[in-house]
Amino acid sequence: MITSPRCSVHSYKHLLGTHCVTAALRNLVHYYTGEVMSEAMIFGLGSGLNFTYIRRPGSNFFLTMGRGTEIETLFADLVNIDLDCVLFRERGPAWQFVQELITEQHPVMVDTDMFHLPYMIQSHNLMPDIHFGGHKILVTGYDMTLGRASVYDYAWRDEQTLDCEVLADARSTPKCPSPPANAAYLFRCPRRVEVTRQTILLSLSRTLAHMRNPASNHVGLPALDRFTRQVLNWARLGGAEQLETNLRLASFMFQRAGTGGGNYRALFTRFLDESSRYVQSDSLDRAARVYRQLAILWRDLSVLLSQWADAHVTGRDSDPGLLSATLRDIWSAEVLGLELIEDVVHSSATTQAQPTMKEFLCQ
Amino acid sequence: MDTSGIHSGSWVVGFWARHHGAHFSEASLFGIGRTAWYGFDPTAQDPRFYTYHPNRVMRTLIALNIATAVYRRVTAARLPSPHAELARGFPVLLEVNEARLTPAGSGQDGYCLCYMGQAGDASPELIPVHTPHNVEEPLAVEAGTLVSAWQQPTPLGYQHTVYVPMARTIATSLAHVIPHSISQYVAQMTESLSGERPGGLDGLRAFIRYCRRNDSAVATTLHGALESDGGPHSQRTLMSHFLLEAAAILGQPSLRAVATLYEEIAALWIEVRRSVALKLLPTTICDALDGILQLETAAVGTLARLQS
Repeated sequence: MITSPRCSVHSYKHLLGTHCVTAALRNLVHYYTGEVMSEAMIFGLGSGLNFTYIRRPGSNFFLTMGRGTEIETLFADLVNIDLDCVLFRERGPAWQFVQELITEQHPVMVDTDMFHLPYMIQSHNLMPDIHFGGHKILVTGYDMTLGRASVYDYAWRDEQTLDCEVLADARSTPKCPSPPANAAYLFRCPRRVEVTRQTILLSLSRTLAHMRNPASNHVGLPALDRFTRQVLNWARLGGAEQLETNLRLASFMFQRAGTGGGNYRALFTRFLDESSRYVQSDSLDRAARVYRQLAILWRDLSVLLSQWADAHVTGRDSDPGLLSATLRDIWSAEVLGLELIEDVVHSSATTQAQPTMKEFLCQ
Repeated sequence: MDTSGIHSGSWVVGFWARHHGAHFSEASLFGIGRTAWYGFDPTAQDPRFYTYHPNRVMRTLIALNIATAVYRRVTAARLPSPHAELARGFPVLLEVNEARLTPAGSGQDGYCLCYMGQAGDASPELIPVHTPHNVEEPLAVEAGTLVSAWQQPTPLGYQHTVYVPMARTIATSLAHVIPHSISQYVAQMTESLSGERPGGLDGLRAFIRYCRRNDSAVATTLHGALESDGGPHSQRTLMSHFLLEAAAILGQPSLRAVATLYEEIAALWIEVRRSVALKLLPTTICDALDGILQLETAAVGTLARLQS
């Protein structure tokens, strides 16, 4: 029940982060339990490591990113948090839902198109006409006498104030990949969030499954395979006039777009390092080294794509040799990393030998 | 093979998985989805008592590593037809109110069914859906009836829940998943979550307290939870069968003793159902519920010890 024209979540303390989803989840866990989990741990438990490569029908833009799309769901499931995503067709009920939760002192995670958020556009110098509707922020207050909402975003230390209309536009725009659809998340948390050997191993086996056996060719190894083979032909596939935009966008998405550097591989490396407290395995240590190397390779690729864009603008030729070699190295290392994770999962499995049917019946 | 089901939430995932070449017993899906649960909110305007977890479908799909988009879409007005929502080209799982779908159905929201697509020559006004009782031949439901069963009134509008699972092949090792499911089941039965109605053992405890204070609750709220087919007695039987399967898969025979406890709980739920039907004194029924609480507490405690 909304009884006051202004309200805020009083005891919310914001922790800075490197990626919107993991930072929002980290802040929610902190708010409800007082525990400070690392973002890397949340990323890993949410089986965040993945690769997405997609071009929407009728679009000349390629969307690339180094993660999957279900981090919040998978993380919540693994640590016994109840997470419900509610979508609203109309803005009015969508905003009322958020207000009611804030009135009950719940910070609310919502989906937005980041290219509608003024502070984001200003800070990242974002290109116009490029949209992404899966950017998550926390709404922590409102003042309806001023028509303002208070939000926190991963990389901003201070509260950001938005006109309610701007927030509503950012939450409801249909003009983007993964439209936000006024999504708001209900988050019900246990008193403490426990990380165990079992949760680590299950998250690794999920990562493996989602990379190797994805539901569509737009994610996982099939997507990475297509990306590494197609990127050199983007001028032909996406149109020469869009090449610069595609290159700069991919460069941005691999390094600067809240990835923690190296297309999320640095974040995943830190998760593997932390996991060694729970799972002792040579393969885990080796996997961490491979992903550390991958973070460097993806960073290099980001630089190379940016240089290619510069060369394209000035009409200079660019040498594709180093780019090809980097793409080959990335593919090989990604495959090796997954093989090592498979070793960790299989060698650490808690299963025992199955009894024969006779033994089973006699037990 | 008999593919009809007991509990719609686990059956519907199994039905969908079979169409992708993967066969799981209903009991194993019930278990890995951590379906068994108690939930009760005495402060709600229309208090509901749940004997299963509302998020069980999503949890089962996650446990099977199946990428799933779940839409709980709220609209201010009633949908004129389900066609636009179902026209994505994928098989989808829906949650409906069973009583509004078929006259013999229970009044529980969250009854799950599967829509596999429209046959080319079918009338667009008849939507074919598969339910635990209509497995081989789908049930043809009028579009308006399906919308009415599907939309759940909420204070902010009508909520429609649809799951869109996507997988090319399903290759999940139950041996990997079961230990985690059991430990999470213990957690969900023993821990209350922030901002949530009393859940797990606390939920059952709160419900018994409520019944002892409100004689009419037994005839209304409890009666609503005692579905004829997939009610709490069937659910605890499934839990027992899951633990027997887990004992074999994990090579952990001690789980068989816990399975026996769930058989006893199932038997007590049958007794409660009979007592409600015979309109026995509410105190008698509450005493039986207390017996269930004791056995549930013992079962969860044993599982917790085995996990540690």
